[in-house]
Amino acid sequence: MTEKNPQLDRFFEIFNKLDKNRISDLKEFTNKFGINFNLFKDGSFIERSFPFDVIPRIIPQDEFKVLERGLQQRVKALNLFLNDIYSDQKIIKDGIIPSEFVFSSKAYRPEFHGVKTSKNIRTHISGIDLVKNSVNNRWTILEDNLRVPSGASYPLSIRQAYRKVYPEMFEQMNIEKIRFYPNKLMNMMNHVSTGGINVVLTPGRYNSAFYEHAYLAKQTGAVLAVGSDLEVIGDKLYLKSFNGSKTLVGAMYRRLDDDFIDPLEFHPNSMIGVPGLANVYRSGNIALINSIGNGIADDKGIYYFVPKMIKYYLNEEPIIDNAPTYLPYFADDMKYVLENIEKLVIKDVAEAGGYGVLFGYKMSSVQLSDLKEVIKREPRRFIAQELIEFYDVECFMNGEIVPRKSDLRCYVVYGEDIYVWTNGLTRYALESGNYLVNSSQGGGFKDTWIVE
Amino acid sequence: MKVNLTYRFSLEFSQRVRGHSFALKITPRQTPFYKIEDFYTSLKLANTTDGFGNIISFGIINESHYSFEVETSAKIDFYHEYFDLQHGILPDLYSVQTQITTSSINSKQEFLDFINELKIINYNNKKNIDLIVSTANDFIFKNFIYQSGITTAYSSIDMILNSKRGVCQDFAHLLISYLRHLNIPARYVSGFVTGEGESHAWVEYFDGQIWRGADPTHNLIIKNEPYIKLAHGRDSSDTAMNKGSFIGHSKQNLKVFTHMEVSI
Repeated sequence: MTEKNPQLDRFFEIFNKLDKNRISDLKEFTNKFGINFNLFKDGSFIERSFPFDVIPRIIPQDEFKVLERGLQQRVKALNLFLNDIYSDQKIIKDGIIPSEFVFSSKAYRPEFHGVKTSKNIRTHISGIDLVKNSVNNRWTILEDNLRVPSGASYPLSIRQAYRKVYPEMFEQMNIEKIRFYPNKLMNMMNHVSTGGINVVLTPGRYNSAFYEHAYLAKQTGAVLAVGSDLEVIGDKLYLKSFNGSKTLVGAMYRRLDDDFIDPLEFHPNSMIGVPGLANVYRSGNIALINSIGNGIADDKGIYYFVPKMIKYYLNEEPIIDNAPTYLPYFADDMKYVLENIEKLVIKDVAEAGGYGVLFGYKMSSVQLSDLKEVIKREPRRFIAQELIEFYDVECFMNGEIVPRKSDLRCYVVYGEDIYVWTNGLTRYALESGNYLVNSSQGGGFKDTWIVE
Repeated sequence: MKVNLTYRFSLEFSQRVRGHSFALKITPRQTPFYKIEDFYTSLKLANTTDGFGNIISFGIINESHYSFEVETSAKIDFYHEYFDLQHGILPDLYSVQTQITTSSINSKQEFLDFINELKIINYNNKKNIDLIVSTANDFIFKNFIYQSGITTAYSSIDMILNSKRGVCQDFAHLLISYLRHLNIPARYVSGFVTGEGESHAWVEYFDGQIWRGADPTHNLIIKNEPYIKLAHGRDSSDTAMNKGSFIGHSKQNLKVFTHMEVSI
């Protein structure tokens, strides 16, 4: 089922009058500017362009205002949770979250307990994935991404192309501007900087999001660097230049997972990190964007507790819903999961990017009973969710308009204030009926318009 | 009681290395049972603290070199029996087994046998924690043989369970594994004891109020013996004395020589 709103009708009114050949102008732009998403598949490296659909996802402005408040609330609570987990651990002491959900998670990094981050911010850039439930018409949070959420550069670049190819749309419709994002990023980096320049740390050009790293560095005026461009001297981080001079780094937007940023601390064989960086972070001499150990807050097992966090830290009711979730860890939930497994989605908490997601309705009875045994044996490893019916978006494929499953990743920048970007990454499944829209599973993307 | 502690920490490389970054945990921790006086170290590096409260010294040597050495000495005044206060991370963290303290498929049966032979103890009565620990401590001491060269610095409890042999590190991991199996928080401690030689490893367990010490290698519940703590953590990987990366095809060899004697 697709969603209708007057703003989308208005779009089609304009779109239908215009020459369809303009679509190929847009596609040409994505090719020319190398909007790629690199994939590792079956052991080989594939550089492919990120499929793009011409019909934007349109969200009415008043509806987005609610999302905005809900996301600000959520990110504020998640940041407080991380500060608490890495200091007093009050939420565990007060019995809101059972300790083993934190302590047995690989994403929790006790070796960084007690590190105070600059301005007490840890979730500088969050990517929150949502869908719009077609039964109750409410937005629903699917997942929080608080480590290294990617994707923001795609809508940024496509919007530039859109404005050139379809100027009529921007004249005749009141579409929220999106160009403030790089500026917000830059201000945030300056706000949390411990003194020195801003750097974007990339693993290099074989990374799936290298295009984005280069783009964001350019847009925010930060220096794009790889690990070997940086050196720890004393307890500070410096950028080396060819002439031998060294410049102090105060904030680093690192596009590497925790595991790879410092071979002394994590993977000893990582060649893409900076030896000693973790100890500079411990010393309080660098703002790492995002902070180390954030994974504990977007762990699939912790997701269940986010509405409780909002009540606990903010004393507020959550503005946006979670998907109905069950933790087999709790006896009641275990019973429900085992009895209703064929209609649930089972997720392995250790996996990400759409891997380790099992749909009960697609499994044979033998597979289901095997799965039940595994759940009984390792209850902490899984969460179960109701399959949410969410709206399709309309896509223009092979000359016709077809419905596809889609989600929306909203970007939230936590600097001086908590800013929800008036855009986002709308991803859609390329095949009909597919629920997985992750870029790494081969989805495409759309521009997202907030329209008055 | 006061003790004089001197130790030499050295890293030797089989070939020259450069761009050598390292992080060391070789500075004694402060504790509530001793006071460190007249501390001297030849190490002139930046210091910070990890999440467990261990002191990390870190730096880089860019010039090509064969070895690296640190000399340290201190006078330690022991004024209370061994214990540590509970602060920082909640004790429950130390009830969770790590990869090192988990018996894999290769030693599952040995671990079960081990537990079964120890079943004399009433697991559920938390009042008996001290008794549980001393019984397990004694059992490990009597049923496992101290022998170096069987296990390595990275061995899990598989090795000691299968061979019934190991060094202080393995004895400590085995006791920790057993206590965690009973849901008693237990952690790994590295440090120094009296005499001459290498560093030592033992265990701290949480009795509900404070952390107490147990040394399965010496079948000892640590009370007034002078034990000096360097670092503690979930297992030996949290307390590693040296972590380094360097440019060069070289093997590194870590040596620690301590001398510790009672002065008064």
